[in-house]
Amino acid sequence: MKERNGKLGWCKRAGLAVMLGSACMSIGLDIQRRFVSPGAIEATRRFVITDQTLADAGRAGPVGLQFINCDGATRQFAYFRAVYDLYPLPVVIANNDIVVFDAGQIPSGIVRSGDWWRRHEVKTILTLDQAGNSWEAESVPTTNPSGPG
Amino acid sequence: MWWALYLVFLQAAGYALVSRLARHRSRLEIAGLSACLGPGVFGLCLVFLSMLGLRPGRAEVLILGSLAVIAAAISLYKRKGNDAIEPPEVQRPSARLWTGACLVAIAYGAVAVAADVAIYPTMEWDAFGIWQLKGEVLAKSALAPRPAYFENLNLSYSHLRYPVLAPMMSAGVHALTGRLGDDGQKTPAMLLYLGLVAVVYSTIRRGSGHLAAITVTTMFADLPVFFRYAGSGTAEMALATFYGGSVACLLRWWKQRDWSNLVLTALFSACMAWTKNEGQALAGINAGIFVCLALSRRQWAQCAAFLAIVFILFSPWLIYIRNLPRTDEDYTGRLNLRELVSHVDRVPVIVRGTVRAMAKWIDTGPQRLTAPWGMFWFVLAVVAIAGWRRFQRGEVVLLWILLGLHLLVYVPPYMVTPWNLQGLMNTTIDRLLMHAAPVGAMLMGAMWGPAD
Repeated sequence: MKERNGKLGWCKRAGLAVMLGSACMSIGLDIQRRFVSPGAIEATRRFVITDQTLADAGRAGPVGLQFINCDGATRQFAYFRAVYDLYPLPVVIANNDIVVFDAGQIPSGIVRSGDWWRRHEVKTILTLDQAGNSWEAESVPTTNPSGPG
Repeated sequence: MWWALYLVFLQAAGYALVSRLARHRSRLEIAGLSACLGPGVFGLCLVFLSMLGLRPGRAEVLILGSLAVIAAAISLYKRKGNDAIEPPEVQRPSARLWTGACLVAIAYGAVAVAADVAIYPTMEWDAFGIWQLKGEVLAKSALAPRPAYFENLNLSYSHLRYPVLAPMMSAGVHALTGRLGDDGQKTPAMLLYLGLVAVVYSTIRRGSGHLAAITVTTMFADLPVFFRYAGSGTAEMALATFYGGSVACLLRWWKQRDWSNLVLTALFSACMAWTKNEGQALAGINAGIFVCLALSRRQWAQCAAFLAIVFILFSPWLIYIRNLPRTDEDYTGRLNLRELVSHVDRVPVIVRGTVRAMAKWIDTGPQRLTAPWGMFWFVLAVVAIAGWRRFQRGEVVLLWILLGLHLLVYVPPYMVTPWNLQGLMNTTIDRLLMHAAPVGAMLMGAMWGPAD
């Protein structure tokens, strides 16, 4: 590996070629990941749709989320994304004393009453039904339709 | 427009400091170190203002940025003609062609990171769940009085006690644009990426020449982990950059034993501690190595100064989080002898997982969770064996010790984690190795150089 007369030995030449080759391979993989892989394009589309739905729901004020037939990853994604997209608006899924660290703590299959949402000052409820692959937005009535009490 | 102005402020803040402290360095290295340190220093200023009750708004950022630009202009004027000029190497036409190819490959890396920063939405879960959410919180309210966010258990998943330097860098963009959400808040990562690439190149070039430096830097700059995480909005790029900067300055201090490099190393270490919990461990390693090296020559004053700078800069955060709820994995609480001994059986799994992750050279098969490394670690292993005579050089030994300690420091948290170990490693090990990558690249370059 010695350099003679300023020229590189074959070993060092091979090393340099391997390094540049490695960089070229990484670039190739990245181009494939960004522009060819259908999964990447679908993932970006999913983010754009979710962000738009949440932005529309947040126009009226605080948003409540409830989940029907949703797996953990979907619940977690929807809640984390909603909090990020809508901040500083609160995103309500449960009482404030519940520690939410992962999907297990995000309530599933619970449909709350209008009163419960009103107590949490929620203006719009978004219900995610994974089976139907749809978000359903519903405004919370300002007063209890069945009257006081 | 606002992003560009913010980047100018960050670079100016770094330059104002680096140009005064970094002596006998090339312009490229000074620009690189400025880009690495600027976002950290500017972010820390915003954090301290926020702790004093001053939320970073447009006026605050503009005033602070203008001061940074004035300080940088004064430094530039005073420094005129004092830059070290790297002696030009006589390059044959083939070497020039090689350099051109390397520059094209590095340019792809810069474009890819820029695209992630400016075009793609924030798609990494940790980015929008933790770091960029915190950025929005910091843009909306000062740290004093403490915002409701830090007590909201519904948001425990965002790790309420995680340090806030990286989010504060993003909050600066929110403050300037006046908008939250995906709107250029990841731009500081672009500066950090370019700065780190320049620092790695300059560090290797000094010892091993241009050809080795440009080639190793190309492989480093085009690592798939950078394509995945550098512009993603997580704190990984910031930590890798601060760590790379700290090691580059530590190496210079070790040779020159001067105060300037001491201050730079300490500033980078403090920024690391403010960036991630892992950064606190790495700052601890830097401090340990620094103390050992300083005491070996009885440099008591330098030793005390280094520890004082890091501690004084970081202690406000330790005080701030004292009463925050511990609702996350609480690694600090779990890192005790009893827990470690009871999970000693996990060590082989951790070692196997780490080696497997380093050896993953291409992204194939069902396990696509962690980013591959191309030939990066493989080349390091080969040059370590082929260049065994370089172990006589103190610089090489120091870098190996740093890399070894770096990899070791991640073992105890994996041992005590409450999560499924394999699942956790599958989603985190590439990011942890990304922090070590700058040292790996510098080591590769050092092993390439002359044996004595």
